Amino acid sequence: MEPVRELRFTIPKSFLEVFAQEPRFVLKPFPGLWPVDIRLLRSGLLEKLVADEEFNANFEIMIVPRG
Amino acid sequence: MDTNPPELPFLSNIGLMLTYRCTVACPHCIVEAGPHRKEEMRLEHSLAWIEQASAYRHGHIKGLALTGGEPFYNLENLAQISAYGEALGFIISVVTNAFWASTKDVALGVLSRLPAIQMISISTDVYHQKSIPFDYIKNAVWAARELGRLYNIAVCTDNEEDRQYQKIIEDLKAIGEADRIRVSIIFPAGRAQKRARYFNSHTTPEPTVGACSVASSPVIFPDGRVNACIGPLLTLPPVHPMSLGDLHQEALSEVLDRSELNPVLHTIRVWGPHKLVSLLRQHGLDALLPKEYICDCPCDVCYKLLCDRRIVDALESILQDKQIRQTIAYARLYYLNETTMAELYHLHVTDCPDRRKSDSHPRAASTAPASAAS
Repeated sequence: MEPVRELRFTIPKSFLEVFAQEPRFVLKPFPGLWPVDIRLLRSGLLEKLVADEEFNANFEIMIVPRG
Repeated sequence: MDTNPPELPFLSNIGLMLTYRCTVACPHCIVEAGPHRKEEMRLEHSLAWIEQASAYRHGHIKGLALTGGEPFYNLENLAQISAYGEALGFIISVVTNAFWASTKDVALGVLSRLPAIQMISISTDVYHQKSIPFDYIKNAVWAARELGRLYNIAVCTDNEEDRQYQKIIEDLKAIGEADRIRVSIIFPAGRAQKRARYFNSHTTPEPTVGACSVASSPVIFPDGRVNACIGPLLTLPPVHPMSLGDLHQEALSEVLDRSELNPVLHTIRVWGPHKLVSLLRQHGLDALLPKEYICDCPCDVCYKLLCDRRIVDALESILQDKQIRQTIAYARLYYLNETTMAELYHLHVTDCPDRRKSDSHPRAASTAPASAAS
């Protein structure tokens, strides 16, 4: 297994000021040829897990912020 | 509050365009699929490329999206490819026009033969419905529900005010599918370009503003070409910046690693194709720009820019600038928490997790080996 590497980046203040004033807006994904919709996937998988009695007896789902 | 839709991480999903064959030849089809087309991805190529995708960065790619043409045209291949992908741990999704769902029983039988497919996107619109009745869509939806498969329904239109389009939306809502509808706008590429006079798109002199998340998911074509997305650029000769490589010439890992440093691609992902328009304007190149764009259609912006060799050359020249490249790398870090480009440009300051500066915005991440640096 690859060892985990941790790197630290410092974004210069001049860039931060510009980025802070330019909130990113994401367009809705084009769906016609691209079926992967992670909202659908996530909700489906979570619902499945929540409904699974054996899973619930042995595990719990925790949603935590990314580190 | 962040109202952006959730995004797939870069390169976490990859597409296989299995075939140009389709049961119908719709006038809006950008890939010009139809019953007359013969090009199909060879099974051994599909399996080899899936295997390469599985090995990439120790399992970084999670999703495998199968598209076409009509992937269900060759059910035997679809069954083998999806099963192989699932065995390697991929989440498998597929696009279809549901031509196979003639009755509920038949639909159930077909989907049952494809247990590896977890998500289905069913296309229906005015053009598909000329050949594939709405009952087929209902049967496919019913079978997907019965088998516990996830699904959505993709509806394409040239104009959301079109009465026939609105009727389809009403029909879908009537069968309880309002939450599953995904609408997209037709753009004039492929067959839709040749028949553009039949469409009634609204246009505007300003490009659609917004980042494109679809460009995070590259697609492999039957001939081995890899494109950054499944949009209309696929109809162009592979000399534009969103054409990432050719798997008959190099390994998938080389193609994907190189894409980490593609400034056009990441400008589109971070800000959107309108940012390329802004860059060209800032450099006094307004005369090269298209005069109008289709409303709410980022693909149209991308296509109109990158189909023009003069614009591509100008962008490549502008994006040589080291400061612009660093801006893109920092923007990926800031907006997307993506470190690879910054790492490859040697923008990391330390590997010490405790070091902080008061005027900085530190980001830390576990990263895969930076093989694209070579």
